[in-house]
Amino acid sequence: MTTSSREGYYEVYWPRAPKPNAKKAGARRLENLAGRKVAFVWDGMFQGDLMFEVIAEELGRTFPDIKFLHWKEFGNTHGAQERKVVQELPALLRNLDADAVISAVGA
Amino acid sequence: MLRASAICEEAGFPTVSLISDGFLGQAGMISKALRFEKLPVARLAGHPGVQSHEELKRNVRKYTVPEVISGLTRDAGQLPGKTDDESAEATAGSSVFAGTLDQVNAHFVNKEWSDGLPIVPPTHDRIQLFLKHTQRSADDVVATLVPEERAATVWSIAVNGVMAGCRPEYMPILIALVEAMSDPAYGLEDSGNSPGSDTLIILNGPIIRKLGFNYTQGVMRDGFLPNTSIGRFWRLALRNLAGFLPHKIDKGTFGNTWRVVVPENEEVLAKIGWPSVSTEMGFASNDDTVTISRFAGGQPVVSVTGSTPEELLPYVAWSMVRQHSWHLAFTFDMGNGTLRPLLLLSPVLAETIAAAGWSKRRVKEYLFEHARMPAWEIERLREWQGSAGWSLAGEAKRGAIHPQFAESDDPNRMLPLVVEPDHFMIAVTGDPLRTNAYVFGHNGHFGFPVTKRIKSASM
Repeated sequence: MTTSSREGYYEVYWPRAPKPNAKKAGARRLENLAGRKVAFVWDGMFQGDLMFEVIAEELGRTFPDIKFLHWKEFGNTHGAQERKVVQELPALLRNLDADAVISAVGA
Repeated sequence: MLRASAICEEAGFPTVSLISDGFLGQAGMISKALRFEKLPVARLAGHPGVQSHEELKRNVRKYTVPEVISGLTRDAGQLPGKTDDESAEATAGSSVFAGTLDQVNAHFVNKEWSDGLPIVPPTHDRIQLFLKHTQRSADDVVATLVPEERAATVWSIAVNGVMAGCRPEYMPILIALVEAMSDPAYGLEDSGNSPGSDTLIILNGPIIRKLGFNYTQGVMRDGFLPNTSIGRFWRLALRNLAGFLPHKIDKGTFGNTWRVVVPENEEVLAKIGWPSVSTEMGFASNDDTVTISRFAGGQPVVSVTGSTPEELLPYVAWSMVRQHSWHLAFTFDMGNGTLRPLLLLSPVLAETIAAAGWSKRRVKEYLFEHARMPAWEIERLREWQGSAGWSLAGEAKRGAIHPQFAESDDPNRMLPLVVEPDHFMIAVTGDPLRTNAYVFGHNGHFGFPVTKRIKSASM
C-alpha cells in the first residue's frame, strides 16, 4: 500500500461491543397438533385477533380435538407492561397446560 | 413480539411467530440477536394493515396456516450450544485495520461501523486520552445492551466517542448516556421500531458552561462541538454498542437523524425559580445529568404573543394537541399512561409566564386542562390505526386506562393528552429573546424518560 508521506496512517480499533456467541436451543417440536393445547399470544397489533380466529378455525378442521388458549389470558406482549407480561409467559403457559404457542403480529 | 416467542421457546414451548413480508428479514436478524439460529415464523403475505378482512382471511388460510403447522411440528434444526461462526467478530480492544484517513473511513463504512459521515480514526493514543477522563478501567462493562446483549465497555464507549469527534473530556457524559440507554425503563430494545423516533438528550448542571455547550440561539442546530458530537455519539453507540443497524434490526419506516444535545438555560431557571428537567427527575440542582427520551418529531410554535400566561398559553396548548395523534396510544391504549410530551420554552416566554407568578407546575396544569381532544376524536384515531371497535368505555371496563377517561359517555367531552399534569415535560432553552416554543410528540414506553448523573473523573 502506497501512501503519501504527508498523509496520516492510522492503526484503528474495533468500535463494536462484544456479544455472546453461544446459541440458545429452541424447544422440541410436536409430533402433530392432535389433542394439543395451543396458546395465542398477541401484541395487540395489525388484526392479530382476526388471524387467530382464522387459524383456530383451520387448525380445528385439520386437528378436530385441538384446543386453544385465548390471547386475553396473557396480556399485551408489546404494551407498557411488556417486560412483566413476557417474563410471566412460561409460568402461565405451564399453569394453563399449553403445548405450543402462536405469537403475533410482527409487521 | 419475537422476544415473547424467544422466552417461550427457551421455556420449552414450540412457538411460531406470525410475520409480515416486510418484517421477515428483520425477524431473522432479531432471532440471531436473541441468540437463536432461527425462530420459526409463519408468513403473513403483504401487510395485514392494508388488507380487507376477507383478503386477510384468505391470505392467512393460504400462506400462514401451513407454516404455522410446520413451524410447530417440524424440527427447525436448532442445536443447543451451537456458536454463531458466521458472525465471528473481532475481539474487544483489538486493532482491526491500518490505513490512511480515506482508507479507514472506507473500511468503517464497509463494515457498517460508521454513520456515513467521516469518522475520526479511533487510534490507541486517542482512545487513551478519553480513558484518562474516567476512573473506571478500560475493560469495565458499563452495561449489557439489548437487543444483541453486547457488553458496552469503557473502552468501546471511548472508541465511539473518538469516532464521533467528541473531545476526551466528554467521556463522563458518554458513559452516563450508555448507562441511561441500558436502564430498563427507557426501552432500548424498541429503538428500531417502525415510527423511527429518535432520542433527545437534555443536559443539566454546571457541566453545560464548563464544557461550552450551546444553550441559547440555535440550540437544536448542529455547529457546536459538544452538542453536535455527543448527539452523533448517541447514534454510533446505538449502532456499534447495541446493534441497531438500518435495514437489519433497525426497522424505522422513515427514521430520524440523530439530535444534537439540548442543554437547559439554567441561569434563567434560577432567576425565575423554576426547577430544571433533572431536578424534577429527582436530582440535585448542582448535579450534572443527562436525560434521554425518544420523540417522534416536533415543530416550532412561532410568534407566541401576549403579556400574560392566559394570553400566551392557549396557542401553545393548541399546538401541543396538534403534535399528537398515534402517540395517544401511549396514554389511552397499549402505553398505559406513558406519554411524556415535551415543551421547549424560550427564556423570554418562560420569564413572562413566571413574572405573573406562575410556577412550572402551573403551566403543566394549564396544559393538562387545555391541551385536550374530544373523546370521539381519540376513538377515531384508534380506529384509523386498525383498532376497529375500540372505545374508551371498553378500555376502562377492562381496566386498561385511567378511570377519568370514561367518567362520562359524552363523545364531545374533552380529554387530556396525558394521565396527570406532571406527565408534561418542560425545558427552558433556545434564543433568550425570541417568542417561540417547540413541541415534541413522544414515543411513550418505547423511549421513556430516564436521567443519569454524570460522574466526573475526580469523583
